[in-house]
Amino acid sequence: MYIFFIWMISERGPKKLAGRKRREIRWDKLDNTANLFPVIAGESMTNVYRISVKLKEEIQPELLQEALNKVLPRMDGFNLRLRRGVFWYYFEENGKKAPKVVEENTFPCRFIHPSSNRDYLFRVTYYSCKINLEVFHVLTDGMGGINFIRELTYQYLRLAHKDLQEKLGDEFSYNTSLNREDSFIKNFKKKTKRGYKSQKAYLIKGDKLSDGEFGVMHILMPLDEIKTVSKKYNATINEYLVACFVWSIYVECLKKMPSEKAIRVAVPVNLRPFFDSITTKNFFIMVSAEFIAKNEEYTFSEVLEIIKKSLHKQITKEHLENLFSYSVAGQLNKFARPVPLFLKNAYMKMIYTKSALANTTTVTNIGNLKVDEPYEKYIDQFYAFIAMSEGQYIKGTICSYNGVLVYTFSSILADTSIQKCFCKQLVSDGISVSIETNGVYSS
Amino acid sequence: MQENIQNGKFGGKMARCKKCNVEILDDTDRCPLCNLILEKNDTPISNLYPIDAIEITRRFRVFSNILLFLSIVLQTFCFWLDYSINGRKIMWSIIVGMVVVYVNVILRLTIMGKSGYLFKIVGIFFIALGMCVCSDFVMGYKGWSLEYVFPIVILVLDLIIVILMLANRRNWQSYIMIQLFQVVLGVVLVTLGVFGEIKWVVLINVSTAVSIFLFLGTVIIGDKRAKTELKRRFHI
Repeated sequence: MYIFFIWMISERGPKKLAGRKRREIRWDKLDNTANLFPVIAGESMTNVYRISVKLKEEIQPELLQEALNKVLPRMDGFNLRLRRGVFWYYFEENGKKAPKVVEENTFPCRFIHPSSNRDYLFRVTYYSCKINLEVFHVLTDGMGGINFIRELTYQYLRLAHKDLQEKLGDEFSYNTSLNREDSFIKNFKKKTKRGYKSQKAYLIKGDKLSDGEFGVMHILMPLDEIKTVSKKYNATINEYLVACFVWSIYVECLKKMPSEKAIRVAVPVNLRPFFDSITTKNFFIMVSAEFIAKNEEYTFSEVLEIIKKSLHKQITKEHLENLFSYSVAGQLNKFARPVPLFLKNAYMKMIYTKSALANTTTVTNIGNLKVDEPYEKYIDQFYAFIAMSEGQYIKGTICSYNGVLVYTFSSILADTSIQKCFCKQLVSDGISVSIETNGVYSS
Repeated sequence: MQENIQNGKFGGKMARCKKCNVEILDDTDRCPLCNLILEKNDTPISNLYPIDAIEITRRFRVFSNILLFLSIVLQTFCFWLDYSINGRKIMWSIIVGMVVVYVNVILRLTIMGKSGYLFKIVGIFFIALGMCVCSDFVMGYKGWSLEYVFPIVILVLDLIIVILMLANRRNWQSYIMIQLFQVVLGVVLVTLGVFGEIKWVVLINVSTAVSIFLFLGTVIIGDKRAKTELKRRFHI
């Protein structure tokens, strides 16, 4: 019976005899950054990020599920499951029904268990007027996540508004990418020296929220006001906001005292504009903005200048290329490749811990988001934030849409003095600030 | 609109913190930054996040903590009783301890755990096997765990794998690696038998042979799909 069963489902089975060819299940290797995430991810360090879109109307869950059912099979980058090989993890086409869309009822960025999610590595939830997309970082970075949630939102709006569907049809937007190139390998040049810092940074400590709790604080501000302020300091918005964060840590944690340990902020840099890539896989690299409080009583302007200098010298095409070339060279090393996965995992975990503790926090900027014109009137705002990692108990995420910039603090620290100092700096620079939280700090 | 008010989605009115000079868009009477009582205005706001997320998480934690506490109490009592009766020659309480550990691990793995069904099934059997081997050693190593229990577990797992392949026809090739693992285990046991570490090897030889034939059958008759699966699993 066993032999008959295997014959029935193999290529020599009746279906083949009937002339119907069974398509081989598509598979793909992980990109260089993605190899790390399955190794380090767990309940406490989920490596899940969330991108939300707030509409101007209540979400209809059946339509959202239908939209996901329609979009997912065409998005190769999300229609995947993670498999464990003997030497490497890899992706395989999933092919199951789309994950169930449920109302949000727990804390954000929780670990995604593939076995209870139809083997998918992302989840879609909703609450009130908001659609949430949570993605395990192994799939893609923020740009890839935006690509997906934007298309999902378009599809949802077309289902909710028949006039949109009649006007626009049912095809993907021209701005949606389906490219699956491994841009790391394509643009890798030669082996270079390690560019990552490994000296331990100043780590923020403090009482944490209860186990499993996760604090989110969105700080909304008019984009034109923050542009004006940044210009006044002769800095970009990113540099200004990173400096505000560093300043808050310097004031509230170091109490403006000198410290041997640097406050180092990991800033992921999107490599696509530098290398002309439209890939939907991960394609980013981390640089570190560093501030060492050598003296007492720095002013905010002084901190900002130091941060600007630190970022300027790192965000050049050549330096970024050197940084990722080092990692890619390690991945492609002919002696490293046949090392069994469990040994590779142990090594990667060790390297990751060292580099994670070399940063105080992370600030990621997913940029100024745009949507296709017919959908603009239905979309109110975008939000994004990231989960915690080793030694980093508070992080920042920047995104802007329609003239409003949202800086989101995600944290497992109970104290909000860093966020308070951050807002104080913005207000003192003349920026109008609104705050929205997930209720953790008020309970 | 009425439903939203009942569900707390249109929570309340927007407020301003005079101290921080920021607008608070949450439904709260305290500033999340400085805890000052807020001055509310008439602009209605809606909650961006569910208000009951906190409660659900805390309830789940309490249940798993109660289970752990009861297990510790039970095992401490058994240990004390064994020591009172048998003095330093403690034996049955270690067996009870292993059972308690097994129950806790199995409950956490199967009910609370979120890993896949294959991992749970294999986990249950191999943890039980581990407990049996430990028991055998605690009772002075008679060899029954390796001569009887181990091969029976392998045979049962082989049967379960065949059933799973039938049930999950779309991805039958996914079970090839667990078959290979069983072959390797079987070969290790046979090798121990050859070197005289295991006395009675009949059942071990039978279970190893079944595992090898199952694996070979899957690869040979499964043809391209099986070979593709192996190629992907072993890709360098």
